[in-house]
Amino acid sequence: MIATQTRALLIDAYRDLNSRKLFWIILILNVLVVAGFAALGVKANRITIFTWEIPHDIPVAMFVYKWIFSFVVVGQWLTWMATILALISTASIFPDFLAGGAVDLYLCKPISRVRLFLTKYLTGLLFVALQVTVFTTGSFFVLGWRARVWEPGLFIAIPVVVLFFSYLFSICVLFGVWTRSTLASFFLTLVVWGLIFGLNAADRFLQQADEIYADNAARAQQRISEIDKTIAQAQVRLDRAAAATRPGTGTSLTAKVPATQQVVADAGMLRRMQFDRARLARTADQDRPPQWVKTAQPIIFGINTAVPKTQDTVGLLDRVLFDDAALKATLSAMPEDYRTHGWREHIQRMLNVRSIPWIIGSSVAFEALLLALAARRFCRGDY
Amino acid sequence: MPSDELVLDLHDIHKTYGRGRRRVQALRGVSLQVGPGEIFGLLGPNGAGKSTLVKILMTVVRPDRAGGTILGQPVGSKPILARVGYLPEHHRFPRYLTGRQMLEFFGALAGVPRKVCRPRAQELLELVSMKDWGDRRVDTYSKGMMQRVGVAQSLINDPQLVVLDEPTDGVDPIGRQEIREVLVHLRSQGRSVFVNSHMLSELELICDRVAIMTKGNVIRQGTIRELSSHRQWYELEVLRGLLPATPPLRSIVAAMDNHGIWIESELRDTTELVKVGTADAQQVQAMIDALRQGGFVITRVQAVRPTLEDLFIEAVTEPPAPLAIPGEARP
Repeated sequence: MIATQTRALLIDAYRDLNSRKLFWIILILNVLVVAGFAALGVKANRITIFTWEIPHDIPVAMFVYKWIFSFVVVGQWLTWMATILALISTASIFPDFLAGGAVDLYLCKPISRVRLFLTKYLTGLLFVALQVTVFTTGSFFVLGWRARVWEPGLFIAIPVVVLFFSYLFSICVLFGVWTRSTLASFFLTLVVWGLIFGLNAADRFLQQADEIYADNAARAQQRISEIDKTIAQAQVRLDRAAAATRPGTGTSLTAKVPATQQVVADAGMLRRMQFDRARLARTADQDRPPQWVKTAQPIIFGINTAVPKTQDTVGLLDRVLFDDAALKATLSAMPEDYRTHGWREHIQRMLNVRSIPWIIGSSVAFEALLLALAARRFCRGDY
Repeated sequence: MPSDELVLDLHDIHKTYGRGRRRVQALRGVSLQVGPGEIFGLLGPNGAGKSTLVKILMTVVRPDRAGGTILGQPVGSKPILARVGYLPEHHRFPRYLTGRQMLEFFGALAGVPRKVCRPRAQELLELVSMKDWGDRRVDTYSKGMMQRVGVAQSLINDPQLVVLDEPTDGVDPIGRQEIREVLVHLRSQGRSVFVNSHMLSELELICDRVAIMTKGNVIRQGTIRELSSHRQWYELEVLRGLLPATPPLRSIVAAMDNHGIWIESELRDTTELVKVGTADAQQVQAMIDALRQGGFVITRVQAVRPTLEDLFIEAVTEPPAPLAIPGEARP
């Protein structure tokens, strides 16, 4: 019986989505965005826009192409515009379901309220899953066709975007069950999303500020160590030269002239080094995060732990698309300066600043709490 | 009837909506019984608690307290709903489905396998005269068509008990007759039908038993004959003054009015109407004899019982029960 009921509910969910004009409008928009992405192509030494080919000597064109997909197409379109449209379309699922005369027809069947609730919730996610699947499949072929990159990791966008949407949809469901109003649940979700975005951004800003100060301090410390080493070497040379020029050492006068020149050069360098070291030490000492950053960072981090990490979740796609091997390959094509100054490590650190279990675990915990509250209200309600 | 044979055996059902000053006691200890193969009518004015009672049976509303059983299972049991059909009052079927899809969908939710559901949906569409409309979307249906397909929906799981809340609402006279025939057909198959309706004349035609609810209580329950037995009378119509020696009717009536039954006479154009307040035909014979001996010509003798509407109005216009909720002070 359970299989029959679940199958019927899922087919009904599909029919419901199919009947919504907005579902098809968003799908067409998704196809248009993919088509727009397809207009741009990258080859070894040419960038193509539609059929026009522009020669280029950008060493990391492929990196830039993937970046456009990840940060612009997914980051801007899927996680902002398409998500808002999906929320508009799915915000009515629960208020419509709970309308008098509609919910009676479901509750009077031999199916538990919890199962009904969860199936309806999955309906909303099915909406986004179908959209993202079409979008990602299209993008996969576009990347293959236009850039000769067959990147299966692209399909990680499907669970990532569905997961990201599920956080927002759980908020929408709670307000939908609570207010039974489509408009109220949609706008309240936008407000909460704004607050979460602000918290996420504040946490990221403070975290990055901390990282930047720590990086600067480490770099200064490294430079100081190098200077100390050079000073020590110069000091040894100076000591040797001083010993050589001392009377009674038996060294000839002609040999003493260049030794004296070396002593003068080393002494000058030593003074410069000591000056640089003092400046670096002073800067390293002064260049610490302000007190308010130190105070706010753990507080904001604590609050942010309790809410969904929307941007970090979407950022998981970048971890797949720009993994260590991809970064190595990209940076190997860059000038030497980029390879030697820890760019790869820096990018990896920025991408992986938060652990995946923390991002997903805490976000899903928040979602589960909201769903539990909504389910409790739905299950205990009279209709 | 033993309680284990009853399709519906409800005891002491209570429901209060809201809290504090907004508290409304919708049901105050409702008890009623419905037997197998019976059409049972639930009557009551608006706000009597009929829909709340029906929704409690169908687990749409959660009772504060509910004793008794549905088809032998406790009230609130979900699995038993696989054997119960339900048509809510202001139903809103998914508008994106066709009539056939809608029947199959709700059949599947009731646990009916697809292979069984398909032919059954076709049969039911024919039964409610919607065969030609089965493949059109529900949002193209008229109100009456929606009710017909709604009745079909309540039967898709081949239920033993069918609960219908205002099934003929918005249906034209022919449609109402067809729905009545469907209900009678269900009874003939041994199924029980629980109908909540304002259409008293229709219920009177088909119901075996009725209950009248007001202010959250069942105040009358039984067959229509049982409910009306204390309100039956006989009417005798006689021609006036045909014989000069005919004594005044009033004196005969006065002479008879001593057996503990009420007798009234009413003057009409050429006749007089005598009402004898009894359901017992034997007691009327004495009056007939007396009138005939007095030279009156009796043109009509008719046993009269009140309509369901009369009983309903009489029941609900009796002094109301106190509105106060136990424990709550009222001015």
